Amino acid sequence: MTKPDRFEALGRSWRRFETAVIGLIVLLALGVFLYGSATRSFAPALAVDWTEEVTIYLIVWASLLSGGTLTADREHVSAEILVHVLSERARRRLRIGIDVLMLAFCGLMLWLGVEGVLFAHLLDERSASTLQAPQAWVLYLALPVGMLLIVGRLALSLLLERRSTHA
Amino acid sequence: MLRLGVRHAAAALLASTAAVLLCAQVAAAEAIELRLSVETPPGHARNLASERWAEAIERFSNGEISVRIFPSGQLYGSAGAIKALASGALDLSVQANSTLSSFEPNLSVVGLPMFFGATREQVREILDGPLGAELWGRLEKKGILVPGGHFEYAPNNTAYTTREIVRSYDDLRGLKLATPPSPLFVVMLRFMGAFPVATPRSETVLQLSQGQVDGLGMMTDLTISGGKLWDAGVRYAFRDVAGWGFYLPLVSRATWLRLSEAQRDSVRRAWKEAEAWAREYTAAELENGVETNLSHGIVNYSPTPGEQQRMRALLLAEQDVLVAQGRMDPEFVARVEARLAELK
Repeated sequence: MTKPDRFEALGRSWRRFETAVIGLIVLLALGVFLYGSATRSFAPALAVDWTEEVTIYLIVWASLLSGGTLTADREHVSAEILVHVLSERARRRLRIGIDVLMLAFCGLMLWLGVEGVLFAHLLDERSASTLQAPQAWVLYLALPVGMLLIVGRLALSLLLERRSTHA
Repeated sequence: MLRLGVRHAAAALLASTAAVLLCAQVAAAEAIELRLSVETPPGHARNLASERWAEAIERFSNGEISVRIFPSGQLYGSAGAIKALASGALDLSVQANSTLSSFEPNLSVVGLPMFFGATREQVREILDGPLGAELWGRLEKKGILVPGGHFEYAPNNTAYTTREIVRSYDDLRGLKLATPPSPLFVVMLRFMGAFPVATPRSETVLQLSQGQVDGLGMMTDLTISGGKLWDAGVRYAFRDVAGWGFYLPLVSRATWLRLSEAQRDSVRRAWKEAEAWAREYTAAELENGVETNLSHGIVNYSPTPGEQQRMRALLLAEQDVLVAQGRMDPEFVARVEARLAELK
């Protein structure tokens, strides 16, 4: 197996793993939400006060983790109205330029996200439910992790682009 | 001659520009604008106290400091304001102890069962003493300073409901109640059989008017009257003096470090004035608030003294568990309990 093949295989495995994890998180969110609604209506003795809170955490994590997969599949929001008039070479350059810009932006968000997590940890901010979940780890951590995944995918994409140029 | 004139004019222009720039710099160095954020609407006791504080700061500092107030959560919501103070993004705020307890749980101490039925004077005596100072000191570790004393707002009542009438503690079973975001309130209402949902103050009106909750838990008569919550559907009150709530003035440590000692003194003296006003105002306003609620059709219910005693005894027996679940310091709580027993 050549090196570029290895990178592509890594990208595919990575995507499959991420998709499975995100799917599981969304299913869990649905389960927790349904459990909360059902127990509140039909079995109040089994009801807990934190189901909506946990559902929000899970949705936030699923949304931010999906950034990496969206980036890899190039399914993120982008303006493409004028791209078709460009030559193949110009399109490639534009793609690389946008990837570099995204890499810089997501790198900045990663850094700010880490700062946010550390700050929330310093304040020891907790949720007000009986769960009293530490917000730094259950909520704010989702941002730097999501950004790290996007940065990783962009770096891999740029690496593959470079290799294909030299091939 | 002409050349000399041009030179003189250029020199004069340069000198005057430099003078203007220097004056502007000096003025900028002297004039400080502080931002104060509260999430309650204008007319609320907290906003009125904030306005007095702002006006007095400007007066005591001889105009060196001006304060711009952002009401109704325009700038930050409850928890957002506290984080902004800690980071230095916000300068001043006046916050409820229940909201602050998500960051410093011991601030909920006056909401514990031992304070059921306590008087305003007893709460004041404790918080004005060394126990209060110790409590404020705990916030300093998080970058937030307390430049003066508290003012009590009103006693908490267990429930204000929209459709379901609560005549006794048994009627609380299964009711979904929005509570201030305090872990202790959530734990206590769960113990009473209700279904509490911690909700920031800014979201309660929406939750009530959309029927997402059956009512409010651990709220005060002044919250209802000040927020005109009958318009959002509140019809019934279950009044049982279930602990107390208070407000605290807060300054960001980052802001405090920017101020001179004289300016800090202005902030402290200004709050002293606002605090005295707020304490009198809220005490008088409580009676008006109850009257206002009655005149807008809110029907009051209260537990019988025997039932109230029973619930208090039940909760007191569980107080240690509540303290642990609320992540409070048992040693501090024990000292507060001892002081309260002395006062009683």
